[in-house]
Amino acid sequence: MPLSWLLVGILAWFLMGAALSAKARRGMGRGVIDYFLANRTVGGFVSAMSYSATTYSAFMMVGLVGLTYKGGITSLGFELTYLVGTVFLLVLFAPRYWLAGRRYGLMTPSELLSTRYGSKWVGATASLLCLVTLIPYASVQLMGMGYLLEGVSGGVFPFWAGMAVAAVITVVFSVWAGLRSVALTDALQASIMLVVCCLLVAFIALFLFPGGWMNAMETRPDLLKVSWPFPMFLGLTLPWTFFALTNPQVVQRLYAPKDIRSIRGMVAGFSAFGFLYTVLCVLLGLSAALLVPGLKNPDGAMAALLTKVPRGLALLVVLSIFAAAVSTLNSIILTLSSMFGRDLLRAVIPLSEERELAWGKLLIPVLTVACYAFGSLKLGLIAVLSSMASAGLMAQLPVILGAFFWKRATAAGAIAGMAAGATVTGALYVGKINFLGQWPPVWGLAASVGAFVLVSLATQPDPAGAAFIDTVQSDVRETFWSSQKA
Amino acid sequence: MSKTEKKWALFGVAALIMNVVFPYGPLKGLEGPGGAFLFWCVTTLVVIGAGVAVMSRWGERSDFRCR
Repeated sequence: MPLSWLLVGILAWFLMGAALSAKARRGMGRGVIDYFLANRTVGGFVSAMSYSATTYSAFMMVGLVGLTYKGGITSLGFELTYLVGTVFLLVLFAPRYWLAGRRYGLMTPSELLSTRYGSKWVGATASLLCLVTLIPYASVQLMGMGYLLEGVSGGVFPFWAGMAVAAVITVVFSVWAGLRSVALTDALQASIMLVVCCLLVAFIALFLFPGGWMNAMETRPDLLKVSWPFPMFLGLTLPWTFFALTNPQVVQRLYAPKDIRSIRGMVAGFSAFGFLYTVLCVLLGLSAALLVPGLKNPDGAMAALLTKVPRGLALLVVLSIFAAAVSTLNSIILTLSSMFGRDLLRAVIPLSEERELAWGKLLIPVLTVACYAFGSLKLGLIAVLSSMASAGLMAQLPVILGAFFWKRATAAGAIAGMAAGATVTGALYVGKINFLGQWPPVWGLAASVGAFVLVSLATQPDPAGAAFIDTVQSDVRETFWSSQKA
Repeated sequence: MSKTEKKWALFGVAALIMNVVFPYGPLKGLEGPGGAFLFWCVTTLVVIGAGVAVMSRWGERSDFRCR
């Protein structure tokens, strides 16, 4: 693809996003809640599209297509199990996070843990875990953009320049107006992702399979069979199933909707988006297996597929993948910068709201540069760290569940649970050890649950923790379920 | 938890377990779109539909105050 096409396409898309950012900035107030949570006034449609764009990264159009190309429809089960888990968890936990956020004035997911467990060190531990695991994950988004632009331009657009363009756009979309800007640009980017994916599938079905897609699939019935080994399916699916609770960039979104109708719109809209986008990406992977068989690197399946479609459509697809990466990256960076000020800095030094906001804004470019530096190393280890991210974040799962439902849980238990889970997961991933045939997330979760329960039972709980659970439960009952008895 | 939330929690856990057990059990050897592909799509749509039904029973109070 000519470099001029790429540059014009990226510039047009950036200008649209920048215009939305400028619009968002006009309505912005001064405080941290306004900056990081859009003053808790986000409507249902923008919440749904922003949640979708934050969740679905470049992995879908590159990684999921590649997984399907290589292993058939088991990847559909992996992604749809994640979606089922997310819908299940959001219906239960979105009201709790939303109400707790308003009652206690919470801004970050880790701050909820600090409040519930009565210890700032619980939130600091959770934030540290998120920083360590999400910076490599975020840097992989930048690397993906570097490789994508280098690949489709035939090497004319160098790897470092692709990463740099994505990094600059991320900073502009994030720092200008915080979540107001990120949510609006995310909504634009999610729309691009879905529309372009529909166009690509429609073009392939109509023009590349003139005899019908189903007839073509009959030549490869193996692709429609469950083929992954069960430990692989469990190892990949388990951390993703709990993504909605363990990944701070999506949990923080639960504080932002303006009312109950907006929360409902967010969950329903995200569910519809997720189902459609997942099925379309899997269909693309299956189509690639039929149209461009024999690739050594399955992650190159999408790029190979794009050689079969008109250049204009291919450019739109490249832009949609770019949009998916940037929308995930800017949300992660914004959330991590808020956690750094609220949960880490304030744990060690007193900080006024103005200084906290200044630190948060400063951290956005700093974290983006850190991701750029990490990505530019091109370490093989990054792939390991990337897959470790969601598994490492799962060390928070028992602590989060205990925060809402187990009054006996203690701060010491929470810290021990997160430390044990993260250590076991990290050690097994780095050592490439699948103990008893099971992948590291299984053992990481077991270690986290074990340490959390044992240390909690051995220490004294803070009475304020039980009060937190009762208060949130009472608020949920009165606000969401006022017509029903408990 | 309200009664509906308890039922939703049981339903959700059952759906997640089914999502793994059926494709790796009775449907494992089946080739073609009528096997695991259809099962995963239908299960997901049923869960989404049930989730929307549960959320439709949420109250409409909008007077919850920030601290």
